Amino acid sequence: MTNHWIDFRNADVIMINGCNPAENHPVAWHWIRTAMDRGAKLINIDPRFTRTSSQADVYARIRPGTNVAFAGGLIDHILQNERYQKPYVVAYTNAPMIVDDRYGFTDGLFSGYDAATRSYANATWQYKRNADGTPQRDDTLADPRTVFQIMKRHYARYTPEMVERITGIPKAKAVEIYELFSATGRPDRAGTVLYAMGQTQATIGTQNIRALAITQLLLGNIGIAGGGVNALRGEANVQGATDMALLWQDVPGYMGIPRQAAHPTLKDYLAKETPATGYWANKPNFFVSLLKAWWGDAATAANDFGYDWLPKAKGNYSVLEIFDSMWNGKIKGFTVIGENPAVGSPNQNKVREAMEKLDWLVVADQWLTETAEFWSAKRPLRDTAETADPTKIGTEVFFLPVASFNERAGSYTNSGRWIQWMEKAVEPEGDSRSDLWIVDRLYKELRKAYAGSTAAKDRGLLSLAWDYGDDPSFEKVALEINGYTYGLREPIASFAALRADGSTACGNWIYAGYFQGHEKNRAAARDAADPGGVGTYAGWAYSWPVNRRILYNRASADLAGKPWDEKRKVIWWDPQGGAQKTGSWVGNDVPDFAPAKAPGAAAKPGGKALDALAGTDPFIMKPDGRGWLFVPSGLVDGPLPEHYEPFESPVGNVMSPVAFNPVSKVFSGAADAKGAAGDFPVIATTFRLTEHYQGGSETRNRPWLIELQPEMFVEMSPAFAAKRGIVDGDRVQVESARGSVFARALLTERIQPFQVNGTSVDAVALPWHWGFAGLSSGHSANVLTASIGDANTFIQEDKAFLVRVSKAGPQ
Amino acid sequence: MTTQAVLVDTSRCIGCRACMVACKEWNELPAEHVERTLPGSYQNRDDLTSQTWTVVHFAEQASGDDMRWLFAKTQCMHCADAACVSVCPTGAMQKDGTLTYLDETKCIGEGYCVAACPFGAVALDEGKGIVQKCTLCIDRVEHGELPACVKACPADALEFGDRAQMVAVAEARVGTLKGRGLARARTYGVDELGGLGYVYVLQDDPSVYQLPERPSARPVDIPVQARDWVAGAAAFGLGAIPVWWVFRRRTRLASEAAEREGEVR
Repeated sequence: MTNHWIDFRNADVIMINGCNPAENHPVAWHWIRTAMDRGAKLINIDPRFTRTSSQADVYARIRPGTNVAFAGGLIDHILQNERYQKPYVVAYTNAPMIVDDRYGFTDGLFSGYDAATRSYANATWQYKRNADGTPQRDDTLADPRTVFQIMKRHYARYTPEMVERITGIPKAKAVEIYELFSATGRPDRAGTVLYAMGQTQATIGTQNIRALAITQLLLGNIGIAGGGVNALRGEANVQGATDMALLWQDVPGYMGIPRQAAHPTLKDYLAKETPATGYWANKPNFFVSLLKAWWGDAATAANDFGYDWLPKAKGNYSVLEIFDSMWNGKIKGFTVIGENPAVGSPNQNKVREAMEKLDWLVVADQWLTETAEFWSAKRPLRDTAETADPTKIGTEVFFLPVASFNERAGSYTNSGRWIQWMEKAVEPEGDSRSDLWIVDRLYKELRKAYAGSTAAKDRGLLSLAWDYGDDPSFEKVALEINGYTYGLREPIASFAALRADGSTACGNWIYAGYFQGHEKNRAAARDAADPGGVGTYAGWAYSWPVNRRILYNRASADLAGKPWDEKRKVIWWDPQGGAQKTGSWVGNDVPDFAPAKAPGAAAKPGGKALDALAGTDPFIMKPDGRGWLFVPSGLVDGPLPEHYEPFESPVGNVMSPVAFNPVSKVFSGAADAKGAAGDFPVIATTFRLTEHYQGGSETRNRPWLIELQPEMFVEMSPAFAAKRGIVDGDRVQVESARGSVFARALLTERIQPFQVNGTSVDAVALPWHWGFAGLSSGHSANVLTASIGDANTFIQEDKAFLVRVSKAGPQ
Repeated sequence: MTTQAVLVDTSRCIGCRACMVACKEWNELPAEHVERTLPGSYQNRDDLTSQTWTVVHFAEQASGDDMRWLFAKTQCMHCADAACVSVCPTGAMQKDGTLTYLDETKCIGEGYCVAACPFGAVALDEGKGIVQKCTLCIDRVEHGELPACVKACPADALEFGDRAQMVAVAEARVGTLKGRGLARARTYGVDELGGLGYVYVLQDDPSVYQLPERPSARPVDIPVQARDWVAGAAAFGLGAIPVWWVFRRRTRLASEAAEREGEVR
């Protein structure tokens, strides 16, 4: 999130779009309710009428997979009706930047597309530059090559009529929502956007979020209290996992993973990945300190701090690719910790059959998950009544019981970037151990096994600085993540102290300052004071980076440094502030800005890092200090969000001849069939329930929750069911091109057909929690979904696919 | 004397059922076997039992995309004029201010209260041979804690406080809802049966939430002699065996339920 959970209470309009907090984040509902008690309006956009919808002032039923079209219409509405906050847009975003003359958009494709490789070259998406290298711009926004005018032309195609044809939302309803939300494009109004998998699990998932970010930048809603683009993460610590680079594209702290082709040496990596201007100019300090944390004494300037030992990416290692490689017999061993891919990953027949090709599988979990039991006779086989035959599966499976969250210490990082420490409450049950203990022991055993090796390839493994104690200490790990001075091992207080010369070590630069030893564990801070009254609670836990609660908060103040809104003051410029009384940024949050840079300060010509930015450039992580409406680089599938249909769609793309994301990788093996609307005429989507959690092992083994939602079901409208001769409670079969599942029919008006380009298309929705193991078992919705994902993140497209539905006989 | 009540604001309820789980957790009630949810609904049962003291009712009202999904928690209402108290032959069911409570040492499980309760909120526990129902978590309240359901509610739909204050809040909330165009919004439990220990803000008629419009004690045919005999026997410390047969059928149903439950553990 740019903001944080409590900050929802500051909003005037809350747009819940692609998430379902009443069901999936009920504890956060208090803050939404608090805003509504203040008079805030709640908008909910969802393919299904959910428990969140039940609380909304305005609800719109959207066809899954069409979020860019809906948001494109909102952007068009804001631009055509001049609802944008003009001084903010001109000064704080790249709206006035002039784009390369060669940039274009024709027939659904941006300039630079190569059909053979299904990829873009982004040379033509760059700013036009002056002789001194500074971007050309037109602050009147009139030049037809400005980002502003390019956007205006691009989104003029997203008329309310077109929005209705694509999304199925009646145009009057869409315009009602556009009016309500765009009314926050004023200094004294705040609007927030909440989203989750309803936006991200799509082949255009990243562009879905981009469209929301564009909206919020145009309305001046980024950086302010009650604003932002806020992802509601689905697990207690998934934000922490992401921060620590559970995403294969990154190393900890959102630095790109070194790639063999582009970055054979440290020099190459730093030269290519470090921008000259903006805060990321400090990347070498963060990256070298990371190498120093990993290799300690063995990391020296002479050996590039161990860079050569670091494995370099040679391809794509997303979950989709892992299972494709496994299915093709290229992966022989697989370790799964804290995940249940045999329920959660798409195209389950492929996933489960892929695991049969492994020599060995290690699963570390609290429960015997479907992944741990993929070999068992509980597992139904593809499209038959048969079950897996353990005697025919050669994979050797090891199960490591893992301690639960209350059986170990450690920290959680929530969606609002708060790192919260907690202590162990009880001893682990039986033989179960913490994940840390398991990983620590795994490394120690590997080190023993390779102890005698002199091979160069093993040097990295053997040289790791690994000293967390015999029974590994969570605090020692925390200190390494926090960072320390090398030699004295003094904890550092901020990443500003990090250096690229080996004098500092830091496991994750964005966490610097959170754990400065047992007595200064700021993640354990529990001061509930909120002196500013704006909900920043600076003394409660530690929010990365540097305990900042609202990112880009310089943008909460106007060009002169005065809060746009006196009622929601975040930070402001105090001309008498600072130790020398020479002026500083002060307020209710840690300024996301050079603390002593006056609003009137000019950018230093030829300056590096933050010197290159002026006192009115709030987006300091960007090389130009501006919020990017148009993205010259960083995304593989275009500088502006564009509507494409889902991979499986009942209709062609009415916006262009390009059916689905032209950059998304298509797998075409025998397990990767694509369904056509003729055979699979029903739109399907997946969802979660309050009563169950993710892949289900934690809840489908709890009788109190099973009694609330006892079994797998499929939701459909009574009208659709009648067409298929289905009555409530019937056992039905749902089939996609990749497999089929059986489930009980639940008939409800909360599901309705979607109006697609003037035609009514039937719909069903399936919860994805169930699997064949556990106390409550059932078929998995992900048997039906396709192995295809977002072009940038590879997140699976589970929210829109095609099926057919029929009444089934009794079991 | 207990003067507090629970405010149930159905306009704020998000149907998450944390109250149901919290109730079972605090009161150490086992899960019951549920084959499936009610037709077309997420609601898992429509009755209260000796092992399920609170149930959230789900109601869908649809006309095209203009729809509502309403939720209301039900449980023992802790009526001021409590039918269960007036029919109890042993004096086991008693009032203490707003609280209706069971003195388990006096309960002989003869079950007139089960039949008399207008809300179906009292149920016989065959295993224990006594009736069971919501206790308003008096064992928490008397130690200054909130009832478990109120404590667990994430949506600010449940509040606990002095009844007069809860009534005032409920009436103010209804005013707000009416102002937002909900013409049928109303309170429930302010005056019903002398005033309930659970005071509701409803967005629609009580029947929509399966609540009786005008609750009153259900007629219970209590043989006078039996009542006197039981009272007399109880006074002499004797068992209530002579009236046990009355509930034979109920007993059989309960044991069947217990068997089914064994399937889920």
